[in-house]
Amino acid sequence: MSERHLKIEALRKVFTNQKTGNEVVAVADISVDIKKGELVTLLGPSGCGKTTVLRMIAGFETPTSGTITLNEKEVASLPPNKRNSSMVFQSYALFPHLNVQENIGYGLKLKRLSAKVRKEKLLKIIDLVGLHGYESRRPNELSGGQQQRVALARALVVEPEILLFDEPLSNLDAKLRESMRNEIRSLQQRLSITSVYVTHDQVEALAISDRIIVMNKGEIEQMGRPEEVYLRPQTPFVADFMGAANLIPAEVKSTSAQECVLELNGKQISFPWPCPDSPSGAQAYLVCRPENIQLHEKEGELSVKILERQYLGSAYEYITQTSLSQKLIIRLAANTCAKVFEARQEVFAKLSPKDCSLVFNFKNR
Amino acid sequence: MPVGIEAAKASLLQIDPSIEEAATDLGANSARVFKDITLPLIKPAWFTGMAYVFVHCMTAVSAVIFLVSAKWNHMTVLILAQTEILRFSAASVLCLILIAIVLLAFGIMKILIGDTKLSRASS
Repeated sequence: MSERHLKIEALRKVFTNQKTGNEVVAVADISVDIKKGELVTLLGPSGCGKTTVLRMIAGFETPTSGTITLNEKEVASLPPNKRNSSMVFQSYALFPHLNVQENIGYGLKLKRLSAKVRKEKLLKIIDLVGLHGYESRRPNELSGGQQQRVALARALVVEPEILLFDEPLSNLDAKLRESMRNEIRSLQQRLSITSVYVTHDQVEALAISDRIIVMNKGEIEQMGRPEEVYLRPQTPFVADFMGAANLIPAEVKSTSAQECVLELNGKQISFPWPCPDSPSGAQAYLVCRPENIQLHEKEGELSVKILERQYLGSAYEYITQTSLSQKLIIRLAANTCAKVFEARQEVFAKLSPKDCSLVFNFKNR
Repeated sequence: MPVGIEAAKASLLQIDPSIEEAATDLGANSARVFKDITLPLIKPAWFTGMAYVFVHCMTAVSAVIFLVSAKWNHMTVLILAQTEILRFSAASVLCLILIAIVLLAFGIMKILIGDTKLSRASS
């Protein structure tokens, strides 16, 4: 078993409008290595090319250039039915004229397995996704969650080398989405099946992935573990896309291997991490998540004025303004011992320096 | 025939392309996808169209005779009459005129409807 299971090299896809001849670069020279048993999420806004990448892996789109290697075998030129990959579609794409059992068994039927083996595999997978008692129902007699399970079972039963998910949870309600998400993840880990998951929901991506690839305009912005992408964004786009973020303008004053001194709102503050190779005097942005800032009556790095307070159930969200009229969003846990501040109050924002990070290049926004 | 084809076409366009993609993904070639997925899905519309066409054809002559007065001659009936007395040349001419009328009507219809490709989603 090779470590590198799926290898994508310089993958490029250009769509040409046949009437006007205009060319649109949907995917621009992407290279990714995915290990066996890993779940990698392609995350990005709509139109960033993530689904196109997935469809090229599945074989529904032909790459303009580049290679896709699955288990040491070049597959970019093979049609979808000759590739050992299965896809779970956004619309589930169940066969409406077949019942649950026939839907799941369709792939097995095509493999020309004996009836006995087919029956065994079918029972096992129905058990695995918890669809007992629904075998003879048609897709339109099932709820959204159950249809999702059928789609998942149908993709899993053929024992693919790679499982592809195209925004599989976007048609479910919030509560069901969460439970299906956990179910997909535990099933994927139990079967240790290599997966590529496409979503535009950053919470979903953070919860489910071994690795996240953030894409924007056909290019990879950042690739890394969920914690890395969330806490150490490398570009303003990633910082902004991965949930709410405060981007505070800062100037680099001095740097060393252990710390980085920044000037914020005329105040010099030391941060306990090295600056990513930047000369002093460089303009940058400090990224602070709303939950990593505290409000304090007397002490803090920045003096702020509270504009608005919102109750979110688990937390209070304060929209505040610094003396340089920069907006800061601050989220404080709403437990009984937490102090509640009022609108128009003048207070101090206390940053948690360890949880902040620095990004450069602000041209995207 | 056109009615039956239009009905089948409409139901073909209704099928979510990802259903056929799903079948391909599971290992079916295009012939298999057509036999197992596409054909069963358009079957109802196909039969409805065919039934309509059949009923239409069966009743066409009587309907036309019923609509016009006796001094008018029905062209298809005339063609039949000519072939019955073995005057094939006259029958052929009438057939040609009939085809020309139908094609002309189709042409006018096409102009009136305009570019049908506009209504279809390009994928």
